[in-house]
Amino acid sequence: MKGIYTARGNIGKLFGLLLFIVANVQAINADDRAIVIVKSSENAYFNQTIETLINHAEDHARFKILNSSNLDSTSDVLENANVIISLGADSASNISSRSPDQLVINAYVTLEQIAQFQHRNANNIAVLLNQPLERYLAFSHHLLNLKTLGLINRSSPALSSRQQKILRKLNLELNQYQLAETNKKLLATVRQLIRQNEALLMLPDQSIFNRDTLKGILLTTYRSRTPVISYSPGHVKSGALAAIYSSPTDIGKHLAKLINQHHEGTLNSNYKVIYAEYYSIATNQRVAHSLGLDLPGEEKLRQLIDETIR
Amino acid sequence: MLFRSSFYLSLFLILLAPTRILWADNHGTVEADFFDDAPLILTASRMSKPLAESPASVSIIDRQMIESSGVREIADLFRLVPGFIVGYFRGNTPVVTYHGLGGLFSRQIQVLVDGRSVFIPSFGGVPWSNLPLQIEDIERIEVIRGPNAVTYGAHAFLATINIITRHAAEDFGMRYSITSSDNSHPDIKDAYIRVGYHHGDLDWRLSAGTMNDDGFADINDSKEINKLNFRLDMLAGSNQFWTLQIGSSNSINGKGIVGEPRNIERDDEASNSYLNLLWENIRGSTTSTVRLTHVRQEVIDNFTSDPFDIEIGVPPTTVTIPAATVLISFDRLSNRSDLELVRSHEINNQLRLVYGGSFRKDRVKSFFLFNDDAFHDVDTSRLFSEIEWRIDDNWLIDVGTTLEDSSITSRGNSPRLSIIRNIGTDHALRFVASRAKRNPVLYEFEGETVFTVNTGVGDFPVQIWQSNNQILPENILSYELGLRSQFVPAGISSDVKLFSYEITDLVDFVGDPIQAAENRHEARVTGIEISFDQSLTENLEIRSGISILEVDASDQNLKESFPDRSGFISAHYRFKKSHELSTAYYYVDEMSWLDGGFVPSINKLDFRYAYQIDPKSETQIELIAQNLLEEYEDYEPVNIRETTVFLRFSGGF
Repeated sequence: MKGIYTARGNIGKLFGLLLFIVANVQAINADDRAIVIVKSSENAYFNQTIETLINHAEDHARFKILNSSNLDSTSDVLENANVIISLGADSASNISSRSPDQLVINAYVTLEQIAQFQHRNANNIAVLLNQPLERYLAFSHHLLNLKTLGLINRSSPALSSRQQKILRKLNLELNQYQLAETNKKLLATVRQLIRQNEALLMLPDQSIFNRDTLKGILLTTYRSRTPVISYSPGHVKSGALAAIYSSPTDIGKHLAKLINQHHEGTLNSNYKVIYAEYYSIATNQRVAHSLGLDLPGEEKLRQLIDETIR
Repeated sequence: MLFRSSFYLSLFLILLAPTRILWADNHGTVEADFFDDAPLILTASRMSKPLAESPASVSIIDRQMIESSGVREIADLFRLVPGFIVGYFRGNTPVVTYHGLGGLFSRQIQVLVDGRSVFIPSFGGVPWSNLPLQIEDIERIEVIRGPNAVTYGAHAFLATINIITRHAAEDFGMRYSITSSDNSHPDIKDAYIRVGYHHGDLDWRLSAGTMNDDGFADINDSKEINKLNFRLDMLAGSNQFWTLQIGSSNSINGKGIVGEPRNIERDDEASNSYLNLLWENIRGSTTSTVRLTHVRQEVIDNFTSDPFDIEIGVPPTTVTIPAATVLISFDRLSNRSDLELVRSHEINNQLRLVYGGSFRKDRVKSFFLFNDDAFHDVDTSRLFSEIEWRIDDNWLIDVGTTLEDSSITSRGNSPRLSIIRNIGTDHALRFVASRAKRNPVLYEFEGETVFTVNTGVGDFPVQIWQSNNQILPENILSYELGLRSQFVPAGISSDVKLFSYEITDLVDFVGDPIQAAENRHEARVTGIEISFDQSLTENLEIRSGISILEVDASDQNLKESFPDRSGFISAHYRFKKSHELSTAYYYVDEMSWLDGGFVPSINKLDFRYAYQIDPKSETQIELIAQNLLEEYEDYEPVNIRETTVFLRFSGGF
């Protein structure tokens, strides 16, 4: 089992990245048709994704890294870019408003965020942070051999035929609990969910699952000995049983694959929203032990998940 | 003066730092929601905060550090915190202090176990070995390096330690361990067993343990300690949590020194027990807690001295009377009851407020301490409030104060201001100004110790201690400038703290032959503390810390109680899934404990190897070797710390 995700590396890699960035900044002067990466902010996840992307991209790829807040003063770089990659919602929104002609790949965004962008271009691709619901369902089922699973959301969208087919295949009953605009009845809803389901599936929704509500939810489920499956490895550290997610490295690998396909001319560049191809799994063995659960190994889990949603 | 000026200058520079170098923070972004750790609940402010936003210097000793250290004594864990000094007055009496002023009854550190104070109200100090707490039950320890009276009142003076045990739900099933050394000093025989179970919304854990060793060589300082703890966690309603903890510790401890007729070799008996009842209610963004605690500590230690010579009279007209004896009773009983209410509330996205109050009653009975058989009481009331203002993604201001009123001191307040400036997402610069006080303990305020000496010509009262009800609290004014950094790709986290504090009205025991406590001294301490941790790979972690002090004190003994330098470096390596190696090196410069002798510098090297026999039942065997370098004098010259090797076998089902 891969274990709880923590971004780890070593100083050598960091220096390597720094040298690479310096080298590419110099290279940009010679090659204006570079791949421009625009970060919404400075953080470790973006840096790790960039490092992976650079390491996995084809040798001739040239990169330039910008910060979203500096776009106004560097618009010529954007205009001359071969491909633009945005990391985070701020830079995606910023770039979208400029309607560039080139291929734009937006990463580190959720489905809800993409839907809010006013200016979509035909040559946009969004690589989502969310996992497809099918993947969450398959992971939850195969992790615990569940028959019932509950999730909480603001609206309860109808399931697609593919999702319904997978539920039937897994013999899994998915119960959705709708929460009103405020979180006043959140824990009461969690309690209701616990009574009627074997596990809680937390899907990304910051208005429901955030730093203020997390403790109450985890304690409530923990006390009731109900496992929580989450979208965030951070939640696993705090007491959720497991998470399935795309790590910064996974996202970087996927971006590199898209860039390589683009250079080879095999990429379908029509606007589309895609889920991250690669994913990671985090489990909290202490919670598993405490709940008396014996979890399957990661390799077997991956095999079962991939077979289910193939 | 120069140091203080530099702090003001630094603060000024922080305030004027150009915003161009600051990048947006991730707080609240989607990617942070996915990849950030949930914030720790920190003792420093009673608010849920990430470490970088803590309004004080905080060190965390987590479960993995505890396990990889291999130590038996809880006190030894604090060697892993920069600036902390650990010594053994006797083999059965560990002492912990921060920077200096360390003594058997150190009064300047607040110690809490799951929020209840374990400070001894009669003398001061903490009965580290006899705490009704087993190291195996600890989840993590939060250490606030610096005054924190704003949160925990008087005695949170130099530092605060909050020991947090695991939720009962985390200990399902049974776990045991057996620890044993060869017959060398100290001859170790420890055992521990724990059972945890649940019934619906109710979880409980029962743990019991015994700890035995014979202390230093050639000193009567053995210990036999038996401990029992029970914890029950219950969910009442969807957002209400109850926790009940009860426990006790009973011990027999070797005391006395050969050849000292008034301190003959003997055993004392100590018992410690507690009750801790906590109610927590989470409603939206408001959390309310009510905590009721009761702690009882009793020591039975009485004996008749061997015959000795005594001088009667006032010099120069004294008479020496031979073969005198005296009945010495150090028996004492203390009770501490505490009721505390805390409410934290998020007013909006920018403002968070925590406020509350507490009432504490200390009752102490001891003929030795007060020359009577009555209970002596101290009532302490406290109101506290703290507000956090998040101006924007880069600025955070935390300001709070405590008003405290005690029956033996006048009303006083202890304020703290903290300003935190995020620099990008990897660095947080903090400025903290704090004032705190240390209330006198009962013995200092109203103690009276009189022995009756029996001689062939009659009985004579001999007084050695008298009360001083004019004594004032000790005061500390502290400033610190810190930088907490994190370089996630390299697995590095660090904290650098520049500090300066001034202590006034420091208490000393003066007088001959009758002593009393008086506010006599002052000390100014400046220095730097650095902690640096790195996860080189997923399996190799390094932690280190160093503290460098410059001390100016009105008394040489006080000055020498602060070692100029101390530090540690530890490494933990896991390989082939079932093997672990850990090692730690500790260094402390020469120093004096206030009631011990001068001790040369200490170089201490510990080593641990663990092999997990069965991962499912977590059955493992550990080999632990401590003090692998040269022997050293611990606390005072007669305490010689030798190499100790022991094995621990543990498992569960």
